[in-house]
Amino acid sequence: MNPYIALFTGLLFYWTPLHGATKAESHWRSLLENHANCVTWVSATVRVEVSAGGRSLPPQEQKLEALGTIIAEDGLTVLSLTKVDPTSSILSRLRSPGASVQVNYTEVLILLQDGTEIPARLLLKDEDLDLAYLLPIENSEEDLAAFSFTPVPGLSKKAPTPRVLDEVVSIAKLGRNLYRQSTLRRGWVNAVIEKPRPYFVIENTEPGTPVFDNHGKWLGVVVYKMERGRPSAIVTLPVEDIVEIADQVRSRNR
Amino acid sequence: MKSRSTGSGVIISDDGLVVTNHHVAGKASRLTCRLFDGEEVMADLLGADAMTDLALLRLRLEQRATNAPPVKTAKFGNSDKVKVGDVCFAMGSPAGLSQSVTKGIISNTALISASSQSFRLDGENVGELVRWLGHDAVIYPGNSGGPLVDQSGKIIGINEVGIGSLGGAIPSNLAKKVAGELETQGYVSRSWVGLECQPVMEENQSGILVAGVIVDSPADLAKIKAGDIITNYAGKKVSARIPEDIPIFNQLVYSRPANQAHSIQGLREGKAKKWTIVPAPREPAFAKEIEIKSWGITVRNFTLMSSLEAQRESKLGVQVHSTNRGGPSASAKPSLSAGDVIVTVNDQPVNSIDDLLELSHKITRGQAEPVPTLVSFERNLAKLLTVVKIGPEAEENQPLEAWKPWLGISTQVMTRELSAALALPRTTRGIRVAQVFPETPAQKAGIEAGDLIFRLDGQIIMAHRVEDAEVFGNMIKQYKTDATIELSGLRGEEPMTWNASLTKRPVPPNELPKHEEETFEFTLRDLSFADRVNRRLDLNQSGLMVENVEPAGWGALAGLRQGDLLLEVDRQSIGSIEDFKDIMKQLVSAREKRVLFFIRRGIHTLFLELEPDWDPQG
Repeated sequence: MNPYIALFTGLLFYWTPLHGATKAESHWRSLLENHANCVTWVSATVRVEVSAGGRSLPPQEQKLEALGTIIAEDGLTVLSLTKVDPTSSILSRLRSPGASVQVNYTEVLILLQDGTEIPARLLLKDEDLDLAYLLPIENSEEDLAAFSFTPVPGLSKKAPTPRVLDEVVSIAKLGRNLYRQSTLRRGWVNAVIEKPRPYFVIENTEPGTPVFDNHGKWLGVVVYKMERGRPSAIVTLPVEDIVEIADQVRSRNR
Repeated sequence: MKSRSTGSGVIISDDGLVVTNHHVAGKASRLTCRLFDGEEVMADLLGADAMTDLALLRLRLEQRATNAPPVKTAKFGNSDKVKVGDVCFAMGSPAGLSQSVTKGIISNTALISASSQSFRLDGENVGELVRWLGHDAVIYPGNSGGPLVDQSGKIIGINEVGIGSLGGAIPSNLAKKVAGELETQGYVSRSWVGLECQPVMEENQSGILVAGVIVDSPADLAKIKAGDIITNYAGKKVSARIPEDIPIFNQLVYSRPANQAHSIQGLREGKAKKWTIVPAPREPAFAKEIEIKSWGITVRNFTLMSSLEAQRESKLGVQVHSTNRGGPSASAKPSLSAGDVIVTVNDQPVNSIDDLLELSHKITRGQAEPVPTLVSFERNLAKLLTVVKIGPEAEENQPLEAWKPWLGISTQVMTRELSAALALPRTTRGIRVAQVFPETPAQKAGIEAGDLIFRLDGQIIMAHRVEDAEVFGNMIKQYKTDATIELSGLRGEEPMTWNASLTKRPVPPNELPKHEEETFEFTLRDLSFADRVNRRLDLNQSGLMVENVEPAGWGALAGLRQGDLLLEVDRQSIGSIEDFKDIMKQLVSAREKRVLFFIRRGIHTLFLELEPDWDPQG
């Protein structure tokens, strides 16, 4: 091949958007290879007590599974509260103004990729932001020292803010029927809400999972936008909010 | 699972025997009978019979006041003499309301269910023995167990079913016989031969057609076969031309004494045939289910019938009847599920529930944590192994709620329309204070309902649409929980500035001190800020909030409801959870017959009498 033609072809390839996409994809593949286990399935067994119209119904047990993002090396994990708390769905079915729902957690397990189940405790929740935080129980029968949790990379109190139409990915895990295989989901930023608080509206995401920009930087965790106590839309909550409330988990449960 | 139900019954003797339906009281653990004059008397279950849907209770007459008048009783009439068109009266308490009497006529003396499988109780086919007295005296759910009487006031039936406007009552002769056996032995003795019969197929044929014979049953041992015609059973001529005739034959078969041979005559392929049969004692279709909390399951022993239905070679093993979702058995891998048969636990044989209970006690005694236990069970023909973590119930927890800064007001958005109506520019952005909660930063800062707020620390509150309702709250949430903020706006036409020091949002109800009262089966907690505001209670109001009332528990039976505010127990004011625990400890040790609660419900106050049935064993 003529060396000039080869050089021209190389330069052309370098400057095309295709090359940009390849670079982002390599970041994302690297994320998946090295940090896929920052997303984990969590199983929660709950005993739900419902009272309405002055009467208490017999308690019911439910087993719920949700995706969560591990945000620290000690296994601190953040979830979408709605996925592990059936209160809002029960209240919406009851439609009784004085109804009350008590959710008691009888067993919470972090389900690791290799099938290990780590007992954990749900310690803090934020109903406004749809967040729930859990930590492994230190004196459980599983030896925690034998496990190393893979926290989400790029933890920082000042994360980048994406722009509309930016291409992003979220790491997720498929369900039990698909062997809980790790996945990357590609999405685009549809909107960046600044007021009254920052939210990113990103399509093709699953509550509880982390979202990354095209450099592989962590942007936030997917949650439900709550409206009058009920989930109304899927949004991504920025890292700052996740980290700020996480501080309370440790300070208040010491 | 406990629940509360109501039905009717009829007192048949001066010593307080009450006949009712099995489906009303057959599984009751606590029974209270309300007499015609409103007096309430506790009762005990003497026995219940699922095949006829009858149960017999005995009133605790000894617990009545010494000057109480004798109970009113009714006598059985003769249901065999009842004819279509006879006037009848249905008595009872429809829908748990006060008593009622309705009038009708007998419309059928041999009413049966069109489908023989349509009415099953504890696995028994009620229509196998019962031909109801059909009548059109109006009955509703709640009339069940009440008497159907003739014009002389004699009991001719026990109301059991309603089919549209038609009622069905168990004939009194059958009820009287069953009640007699339940009184003397607590159950009804029946024999079983393993014959399954149906009406003959040919019009001119008399006798009963044998539809089937259960393998290894007395009928099988007597060499009776499907297709045989039975014409004489134990010396009595029998025939079934239509389905209504079958219950009469069944009554004859079940009433023969067990283990005593008798003869059967009939035809096989048109030729006369004789058989000798030795009936076996009949066991219930299903044994009673027992809950084992440490496993999170209910289980049953096998009876002869249930083991035959399950095609098992013996009655050994324990059958899972239901599992508690999220309980140890449902969480096992693989999980136990209804129909599974537990055969060994830690390699020890489990032949019955007694074995399972004994092994479970041995495994869990003194354990603070659930114990992984190897369980072998059968599911159809597969023999499976699983590990169930049995033992103490898992510790429950509720997560704390994240702290949030709080001002203590509720607001509405200044919409364009509202701004225009208040003579403000339509471009106004901000909120109007709808409510100021007492003892809050807002009240301390002097904010009042009706004030208009446009800026927070100099920033415009960008709210002018209904959708902006969260804007102000979210602006507040950006601050630390101890921050000081400056608000500016208007009061009437006067410009105002308020400085408020934010605090943490009040403690939510689930983080307040709580107590589960095990004797009376309800849960109390301290009053929350929201309770005080929403119920307009004084900030110094004492009392505890009833958070949960166990269905059919002593609290619920006394009328205690979720949301009640408990003010006093036995005339002693309740200021805190600790006060309540101390008073209850004294009452429980004294085993008081009545415990008096004084409560507030909305704007009303009332006294409730809790009358626990203390366990005589202590």
